[in-house]
Amino acid sequence: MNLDRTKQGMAKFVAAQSPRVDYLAMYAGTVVAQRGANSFDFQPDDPRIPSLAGIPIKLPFPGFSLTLDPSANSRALLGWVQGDPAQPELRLWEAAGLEAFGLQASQKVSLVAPAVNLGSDPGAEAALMAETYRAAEDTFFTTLITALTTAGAALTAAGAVPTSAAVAPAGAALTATSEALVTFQAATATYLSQVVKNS
Amino acid sequence: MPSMSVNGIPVMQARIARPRVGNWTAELAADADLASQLPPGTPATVHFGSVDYVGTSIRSDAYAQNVTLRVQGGAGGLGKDCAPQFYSQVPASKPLQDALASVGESLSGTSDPQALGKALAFWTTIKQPVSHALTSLAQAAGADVVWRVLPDGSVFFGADGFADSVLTDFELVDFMPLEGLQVISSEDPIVNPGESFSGRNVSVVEHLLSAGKTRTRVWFE
Repeated sequence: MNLDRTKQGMAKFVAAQSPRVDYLAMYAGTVVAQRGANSFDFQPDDPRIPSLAGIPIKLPFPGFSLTLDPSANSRALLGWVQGDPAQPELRLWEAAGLEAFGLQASQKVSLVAPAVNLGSDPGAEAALMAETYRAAEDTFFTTLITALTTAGAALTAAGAVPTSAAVAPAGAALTATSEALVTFQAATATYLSQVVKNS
Repeated sequence: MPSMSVNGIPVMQARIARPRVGNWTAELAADADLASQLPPGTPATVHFGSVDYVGTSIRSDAYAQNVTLRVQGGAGGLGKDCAPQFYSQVPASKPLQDALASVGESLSGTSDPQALGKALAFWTTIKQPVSHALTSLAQAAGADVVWRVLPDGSVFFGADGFADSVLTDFELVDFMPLEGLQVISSEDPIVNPGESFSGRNVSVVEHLLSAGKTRTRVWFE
């Protein structure tokens, strides 16, 4: 800034009364390494600012954790809490280089939206509507059980006649199949989970 | 009346201003034939009473057989920029001494150990005048911590205890209560900012030499 001599003196005096004013700004730079949970080494673009090591990142919500790919040269902004040189922190993140993202809550995490995408690989398929599917499956199994039980009883009865001895085993097999389906249905409550993984 | 000289050269007129926070300055006038060898950047020691004020010439010029000179305490480095540096898990003394050493200044041995030992989890020194960095560190080291340049040119860092001044041989020339100012005359006015004088805490001390007489103005907090 070009100032005349009087203003230069005044500017220096004012600057001397506010030595921390430069700490109130945020400075762009590159994350060069991760030191631990949410702790990073940072190289600012501005040559007036030194490289910093092991400084925390402030995330928008508690419970978040980040793991970065250092080779991705992720970008962030550096600032100081209350303009205090003793309290550096990283803020506002550019998305490149995220390796892992964690969210830990003591009660519940809800993702509520008309659409939630889990994975975007070309081979990804739609998630199963488990409860709807199980209800439809139960209906099918009930129908199948009824048919198999009826057929099994009829064939067993028919096999009791000596000329139809080969029929009795068929009836027994159908009865056994029906019983297996009943067992499967009885364990319905164990087929659904609130813990999901993507693959 | 105490005499005043700069690098052994008699001074005809002078004002030495010594604030409790920051650097002291001396504005002097001497005979041109004697004082022409004090260009800016030259080490300059002002002798007044029993005290030597060790500083550096920052401006000088000559007119009508007089040289006027401005001297600042220390080695003239406090206005220079310090190098950017990051620290973790250090006492305040570490960035402080690094900043001073980088511009040829020194830390006084009378500095406050408690202030120097203030633990800093992180500290970021950005490129800025060393004097600004000292002010930032003083803020971090404690609410009452200050820095100032002492007569010997070193930098004191710490909280003032306002100990009683040892000056007892003086004459009170004037007292302005509303301004918080006393004007005294003394053969050796060894009163300092950061002390207690006449029951009041001293904020600024000015030594004035003109027309063959010396006066010291003591401004209170």
